[in-house]
Amino acid sequence: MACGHAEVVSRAKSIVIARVAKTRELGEAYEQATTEAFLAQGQRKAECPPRAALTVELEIAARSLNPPNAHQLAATPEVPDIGINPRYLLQAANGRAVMDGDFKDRFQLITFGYTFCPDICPTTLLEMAAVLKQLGNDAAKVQALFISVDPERDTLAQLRTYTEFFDARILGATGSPELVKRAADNFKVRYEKVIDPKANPAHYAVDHSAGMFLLTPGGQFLAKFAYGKPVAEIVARLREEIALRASADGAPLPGASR
Amino acid sequence: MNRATLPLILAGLLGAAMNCGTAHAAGAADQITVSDAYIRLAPPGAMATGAYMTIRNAGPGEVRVVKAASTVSRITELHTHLNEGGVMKMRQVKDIPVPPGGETVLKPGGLHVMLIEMRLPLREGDKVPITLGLDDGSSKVISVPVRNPG
Repeated sequence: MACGHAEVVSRAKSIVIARVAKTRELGEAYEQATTEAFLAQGQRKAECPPRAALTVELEIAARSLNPPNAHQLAATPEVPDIGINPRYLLQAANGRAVMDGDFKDRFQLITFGYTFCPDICPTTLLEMAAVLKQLGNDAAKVQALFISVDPERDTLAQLRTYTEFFDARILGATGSPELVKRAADNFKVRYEKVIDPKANPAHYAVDHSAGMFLLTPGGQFLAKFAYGKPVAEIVARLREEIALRASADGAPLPGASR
Repeated sequence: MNRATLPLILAGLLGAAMNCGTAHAAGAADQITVSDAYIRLAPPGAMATGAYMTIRNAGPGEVRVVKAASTVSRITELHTHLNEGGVMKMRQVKDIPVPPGGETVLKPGGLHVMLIEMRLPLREGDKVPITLGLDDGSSKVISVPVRNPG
């Protein structure tokens, strides 16, 4: 906090909230440790650790805690970016099942939407395609996914045509309404069909949370990019994360083989 | 309205900073100029796409766009987006006001003309006539190129 690494702080908080039992004793210990560390950093006027290094420390610490409990998380009230448990099991546009743990060697860049969407989704997918292009060879370390929250209308074939228009590397996925709901809930993505009573009922729109999610190789939640976040910033973040993993390759993180 | 002259008049639309009103419509339409208009090239099979533009009003009073029509889509509507806590909500609007001496920008993530149920697939570079109906009953036809913003 003293070093202004707001993103690391928010990640740390979300880990604590998601994985640590909410007891008074632990709560007080958390407060005290946070305050002491904050003051110590200020007094020492020490050099701040780079954000990347802190992130690694944090992820290592997180792995030593209890794994998140999916049922508990789904029931927690909606708070953006906190308690995102990026689990999903869907059907990819190529007909195969696809789930969060499938990409052990690749980051996942995920967005939710629907193909009837004339504006927000194409804009987001254009940006996703731009991210992949700008990453160059590093794009091989990223799996881009477009999850349709409109399984009623979006067939797998349609999804495939749609995503390929932007970039053939973007994988479309959807599933039964129940599986889509579960995936969206886990990501804290909200969506709702909006039917205009005066219009053709087949032309409904779907309100949905926009933006992109970034998961680590193996499928841990890393970051959420709000709609409209500049492509250059997303690329910069991905490059940073890729470099970080590459340098950590010599000393694999505990549990990385999972 | 003389549609035959439109392609000539509007041929330079994409590059032109401004397209002056022509003599084909009376009333508010004469005060309105449209620039930077484009239709987003939609993925194959997409049911809908959006048209974007900057509408300038040189007149002394507010002009409202109350409807839009196009030959390429069965339904053409005026839409906007509301961003409510990261949830994007697309809603039809009854009009798009353009202030006197000012402009209104239709752009991704905000106001747009939505083309629904395309009658034919659009290709990049196609020019599509769109008629903007104004609140005084006059109308303005613009020729809008199809563009792939990627």
